[in-house]
Amino acid sequence: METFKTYICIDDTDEIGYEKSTGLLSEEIQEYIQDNYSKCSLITRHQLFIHEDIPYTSHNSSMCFTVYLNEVQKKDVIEFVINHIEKYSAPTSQPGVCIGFEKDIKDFEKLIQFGFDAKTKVLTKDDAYAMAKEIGFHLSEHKNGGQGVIGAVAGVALRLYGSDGRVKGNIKVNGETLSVKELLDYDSINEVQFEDGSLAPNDLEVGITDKLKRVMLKHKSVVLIYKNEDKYELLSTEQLRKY
Amino acid sequence: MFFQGNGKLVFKFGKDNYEKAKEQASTCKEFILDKDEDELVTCTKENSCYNCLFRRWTQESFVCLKG
Repeated sequence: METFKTYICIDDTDEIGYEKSTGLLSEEIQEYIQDNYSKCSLITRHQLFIHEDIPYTSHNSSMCFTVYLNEVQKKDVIEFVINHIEKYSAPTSQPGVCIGFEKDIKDFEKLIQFGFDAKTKVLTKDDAYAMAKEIGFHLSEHKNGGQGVIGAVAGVALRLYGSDGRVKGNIKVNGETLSVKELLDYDSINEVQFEDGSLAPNDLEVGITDKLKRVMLKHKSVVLIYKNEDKYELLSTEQLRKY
Repeated sequence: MFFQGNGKLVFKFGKDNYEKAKEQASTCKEFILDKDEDELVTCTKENSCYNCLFRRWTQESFVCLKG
């Protein structure tokens, strides 16, 4: 049976002090899918609008990843994700789940605009359900007010856009410096770039001065570096906040 | 370091004053590092309110939920 690129996004599953963050739940879902179906993409974190009219927990971000599934597998995964979210999300959370095939999205621009809007405006659940219906994606809410449906659709939109968010997690490396070539030897690093988008040459030595984190740019997992006086270094955690 | 805004304790130095956020956290008995590493926004060598489990970001700053 033919498989299709499938987007899986969840939002608003935790509460202050809760043991499992939305990121951790995403990883658990990813692990299940990889164990039972197929290798998944990296998970990306998408920062959404922070506004007093939005009932986010502490930072308002959603988590999204992709995997290739067939129709039957997609149905199974939706069932698993819903059960997992209902079981492990926080009691006061308002989870939303959005899952679907990229092939079913007829108007990429409109969906991506929804994602941009979710970063700058207060959207409604009706907006989210209307968008999900238009793109033929599963969208469901699972506890309390279910406001997480907005972020769940937005996360899909921003992942589809391809230049939004940080990649979840960081890479543990040995050594104080690595060449760009050595960085590119990691499977989960596609490019090493400066912030202006220019590619770093392979022989450049990069100081591992902070956690080795990646951002998503043009659908690639990218390590960002900068010149600090006469040395090249990773962008710091603080510098990566805006991504 | 904080002011009262709508009954909540708002950090008055905004989102980018890393020194003040460290200074405040250094004397805070309620500080707990956010368990979610992807939500940490500054170095963890010293405690910072910006990395605290009990900070809730707002448009301009954050609210301390232990205030």
